[in-house]
Amino acid sequence: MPVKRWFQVAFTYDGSGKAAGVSLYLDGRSLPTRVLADHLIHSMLWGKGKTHWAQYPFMIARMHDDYFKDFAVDELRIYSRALTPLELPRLAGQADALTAALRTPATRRTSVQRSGLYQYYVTTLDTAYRAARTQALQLRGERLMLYNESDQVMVMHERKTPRPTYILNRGAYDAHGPRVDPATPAQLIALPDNLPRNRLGLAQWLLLPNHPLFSRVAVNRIWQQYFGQGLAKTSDDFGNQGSLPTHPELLDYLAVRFRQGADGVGPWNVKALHRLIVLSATYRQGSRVSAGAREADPDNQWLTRGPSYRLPAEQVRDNALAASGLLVRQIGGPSVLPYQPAGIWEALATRNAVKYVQQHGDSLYRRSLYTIWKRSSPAPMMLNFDAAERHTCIVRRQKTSTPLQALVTLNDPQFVEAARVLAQRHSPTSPPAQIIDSFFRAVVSRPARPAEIDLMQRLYADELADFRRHPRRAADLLAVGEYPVDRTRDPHQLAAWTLVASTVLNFDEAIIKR
Amino acid sequence: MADLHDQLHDQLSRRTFLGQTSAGLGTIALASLLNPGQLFGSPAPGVGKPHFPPKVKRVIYLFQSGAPSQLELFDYKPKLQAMWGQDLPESVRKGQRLTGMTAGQSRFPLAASRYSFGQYGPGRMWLSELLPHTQRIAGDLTFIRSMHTEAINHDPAITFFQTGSQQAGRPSFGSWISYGLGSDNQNMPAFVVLLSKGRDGDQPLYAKLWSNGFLPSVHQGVVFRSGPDPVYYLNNPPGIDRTSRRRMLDYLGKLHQQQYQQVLDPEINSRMAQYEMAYRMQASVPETMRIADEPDYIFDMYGPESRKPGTFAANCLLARKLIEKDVKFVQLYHQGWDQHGNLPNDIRIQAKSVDQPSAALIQDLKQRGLLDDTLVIWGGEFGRGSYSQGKLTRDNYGRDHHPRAFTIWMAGAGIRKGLVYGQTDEFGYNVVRDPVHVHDFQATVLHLLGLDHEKLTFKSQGRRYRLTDVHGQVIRPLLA
Repeated sequence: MPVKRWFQVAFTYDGSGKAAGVSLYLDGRSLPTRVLADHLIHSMLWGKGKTHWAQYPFMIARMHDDYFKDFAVDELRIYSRALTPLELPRLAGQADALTAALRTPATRRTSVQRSGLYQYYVTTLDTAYRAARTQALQLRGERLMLYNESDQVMVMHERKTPRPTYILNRGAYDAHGPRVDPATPAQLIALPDNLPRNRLGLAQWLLLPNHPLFSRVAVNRIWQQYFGQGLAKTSDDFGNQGSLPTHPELLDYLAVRFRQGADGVGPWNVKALHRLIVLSATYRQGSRVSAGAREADPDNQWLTRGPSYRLPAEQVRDNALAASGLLVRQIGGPSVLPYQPAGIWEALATRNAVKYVQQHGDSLYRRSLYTIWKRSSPAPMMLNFDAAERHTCIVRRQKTSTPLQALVTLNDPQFVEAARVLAQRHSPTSPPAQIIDSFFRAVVSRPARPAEIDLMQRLYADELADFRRHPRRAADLLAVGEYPVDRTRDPHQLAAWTLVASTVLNFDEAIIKR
Repeated sequence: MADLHDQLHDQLSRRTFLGQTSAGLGTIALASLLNPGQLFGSPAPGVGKPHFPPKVKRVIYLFQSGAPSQLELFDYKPKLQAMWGQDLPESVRKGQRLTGMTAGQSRFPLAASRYSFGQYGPGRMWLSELLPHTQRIAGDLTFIRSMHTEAINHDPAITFFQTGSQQAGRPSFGSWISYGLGSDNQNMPAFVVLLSKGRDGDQPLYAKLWSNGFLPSVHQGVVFRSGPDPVYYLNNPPGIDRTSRRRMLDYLGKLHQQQYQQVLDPEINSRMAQYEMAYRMQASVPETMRIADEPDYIFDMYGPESRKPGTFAANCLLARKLIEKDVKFVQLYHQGWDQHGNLPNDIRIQAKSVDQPSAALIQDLKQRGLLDDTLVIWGGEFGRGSYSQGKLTRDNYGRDHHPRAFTIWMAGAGIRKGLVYGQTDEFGYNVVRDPVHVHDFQATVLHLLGLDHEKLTFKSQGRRYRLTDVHGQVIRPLLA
C-alpha cells in the first residue's frame, strides 16, 4: 500500500461462503488473491440458537491480535448488493468503466468488458436471475441453519498435503530439530509399504494378524473391567517395565479368539468377548474369601475367587438409578445436564458456557456416560469417584475411598431421589421385611440377610417415630428431586422408607463389587 | 536413624489423632485410623511420611493469578526512569519470543514504575509504595527476584507452576504433598482451595489446577466456597438433621460390621472411616468457614474486606483457620493481575486489596506461633515486561507477559528471613545472578516439607512421574 497518500480499498462478497465469492480491489482495480483456506460450512453470522459470537459488529484494521495503526479512514461506504467489477473504477475516481463498456460496440468489447456487462446486467436487471439468486441464497441460509442448529462432534481428517513435522528441541514450538515422518515403532512389526502413512494406516497396522500387542492389550482391558485388574496388571503399560501376565496362556487364548473369532462368532466381536468372560466359571465365583486365602493372595492374582473392587464413578450412579427404576435406557444422543450443585460453572467461568442450566425429565436419569463433561469444571461426583479427567488418556483409574464419596451418596439429590423412588415403588401394605428384602435385591442383587432385615426394621421404626414428631422434615425430604412423589402414600412412612433405601444405597455392596 | 524417625512420626500422628478425634468413631478398626497413609490413600513404601525431618508442616500458597508486575511491586529499577521512553536494547531482549499481543509493536519503549520505592526492614530491601503493609513485615519475608519460567501465556504458565508441566493432566502441587505426607487431621481434607477475584473478566481458573491428576482422588484439592454450601454435597438433604444423619450412620455402621464379618475385606473398615470423616466434616467445615465470630481486632488487621466472605482478605483469614485445623496445603487463587493496559491504575487497586490481608496473615500466624512450622508463598505465574504494551505516557502504560524474570516472596519456617535472593539486570528483564527455575522452586518447597523431589514419584502409564519432571535443584542458600 502506498504511504502518505489516499487510496481506496474495496471488497465485494456474494454471500456464497466460498473464497471465489470474494473480490478485492485497490483504487478500482481487481487484485490478485491467494486462497489459504476455503472450507466454511457454517454461517458466519449466527451460532447455535442464533447466538451472536462476534464481539463487534464491524471492525477495521484488526486481525487476531494484530492491530494496524497510524492510518485514517474516510468515505466509508457499504452497499446493499455486491458491486460488479465494472462499477468499481468510477467509485475510486477513475474513468467510468461501465459506461465505457456500454458505449463500445459489441463486436469490439474486450472479454473483461463482456463478462463485466453480463455480471452487471444479471445482478441488477435480470428478474429471473435475481429471483433464482435470492432463492439460492435463502436455501443456502436454511442449509447453514441446519448445520448450526445440529449437535456437532469434532472429527479429525487428514490434510491433503501433510504439514511437515519436526522434533521440537526441548519442546519449544519455535525450535525446530530434524524433520520427522509418520511411522510405527520399528521393534514391533514393520508397517507394510502398501498402507498409507496416516491414521488409517496406523489402524490397519494395529489389526494385522501378526501384530503382537493390539489384541492382547484390548482383551486385557476388557478383563480389567470385570476383575478390577488385568491379567497383565499394568494394563496401561505392555512395555518392558510393565508387569508380566499372571496367566499368559489365558491372555493369548482370549487374544487369538478375539482376533479370529470362534464358534460362529466373527473376528473382533467385543460383545462376544464380554459374554465369554461373564459366563466363565472364574468370573462366576463368589468373592468371599477366607483369612488364609486372603493372606496368601491379597490381590487375587491367581483368581481363586470372584472379583471385588470399588465400582467406577459412572456405575455407582447408574446402579442407584437402575435400582430405583429411574434409569432411562435410551442409547445415544447428545450429552445431558442432570442435577449439579448450584453455581458449578459460574465459579470457573470461561468466556462461553458460563452457566450450568440443568435439564429435566429423562435427561436426569440417563446413564452417566451421557453426563456433559466440561473439562474446566467437571461434575464433582465424577471427580470424587476417580473418573478420568479427559486431559490425557487414562486406561487404569484409581479406586480410592474418600469422605467426599460418602457425601455424594448420602447427599447428592440424584441419590436421595433414587432412594425415595425406590421406596415408593413398593407396596405400603407389604410386610416391612419384604420391603427391605426388595431394597437389597434391587440395589445389591441378593436377598437381605435376617440380621440386615432386623437392623433396617429398627432404623425404619426409629425414623418413622421421628418423622411423625417432625412432619415438616418428612415433607422436606420427599421434595428432593423432580420425579413425582406418590401422594397416595403416608408421607411419614415414605420418608422413613426413603432413609432406609438411602442406607442400602450407601451400603458396601452398592459401591464395592462383591 | 530412619527407624527412629519413623517412630517419631508415628508418635506424632497418634498424638495429633487422639487430640483431635471427636466422638462417634463407632467400631472402626483403630489400626487403620492410626496410619494416615492407609486411611487417606493407598499405602506405598515411603509415602505418607517425609523422607527426612521437615522444617515445614503446612503451606499456604497465595497464588496471584494473572501475573503481578514485579516492576511496580518488588524489583526497583531506576535505570528505567533514566531511559524512560527509549527502546529496550536488542542486546537485552536477544530476540526473545513475545506474545502475539506485543510481537507486532514497532517499538518497545521502556516504562518506569509510576510508583516510588523505598527501603524497608532490617535488610533495607526495596519495596514499592503500593505495599505499605508488606513494608512493615519486610524483615519476615524472603524475596526471590530471579524467578523464571518456560511458559509465556497464563494457562500453561499456571499449570506449569502448579503441576510441573505446561500440559494439563499431572497432579497439582498440593496433591503431591498430600500424597507424600498424608494428612495430619481427621476432620478436614489435606488440600483445600480458596478462590477470589480482583476484577471481573480477568484470566479464568480451571479445576485441573487443583486436580489429583493420576494420583488417587483422595489427594484432590477440595474447593471451599463461601456461602451456604461450602463443599459440594456437604449439607444433608432437606429434612435430614444431624440427629437423623447420626442415627442412619450408626445403623449403616452396624450393617458394615456384619458385612466385614462376612467378607473380611479391610476396605469395609476404610469406607466406614470415610463415612465418619464425612460426618465430622459436616460440622468442622462450616465451623471453620464461619469467620463472623472472629474478634474485631482480627478484622482490623486483615482490613475491611475481610468481613466479606469470598474476598481475598476473607480467604487469608480462612487460610489461618484452616492451618489451625492442620490442613496441610491451603491454596488461594486471587485473580485480576493481568494488566496489559491501564496498569498504573489497576495495579494500585489490586495491590491495595491484597497487601494488607497478605501481611496480616503473616503477622497473625506469627502471633500464634504458627509461622514456626508454616510456609507462606506469594507470587504469580510469570512477570511483566520492562517495555510498555501499547501507548506509553507518564501516567499510563501497560505491560505484557514476561517469563524471563519475576519476583515471588515466601515467609515462615525453614527459610532465611529478610533475604533477597537473585538479581535481574538494570532493566529487570533478564536474571543476572542466582536464577531460580519453577522446578527449583518446587524442589525447594518439597525439601522444606521433608520430601526429596527426586524420590517423590508415582508410576502412571509406564512412567515414574515427579512434580519436578526430570529437573529441579533445591536452592540451598534460601534455607535457614
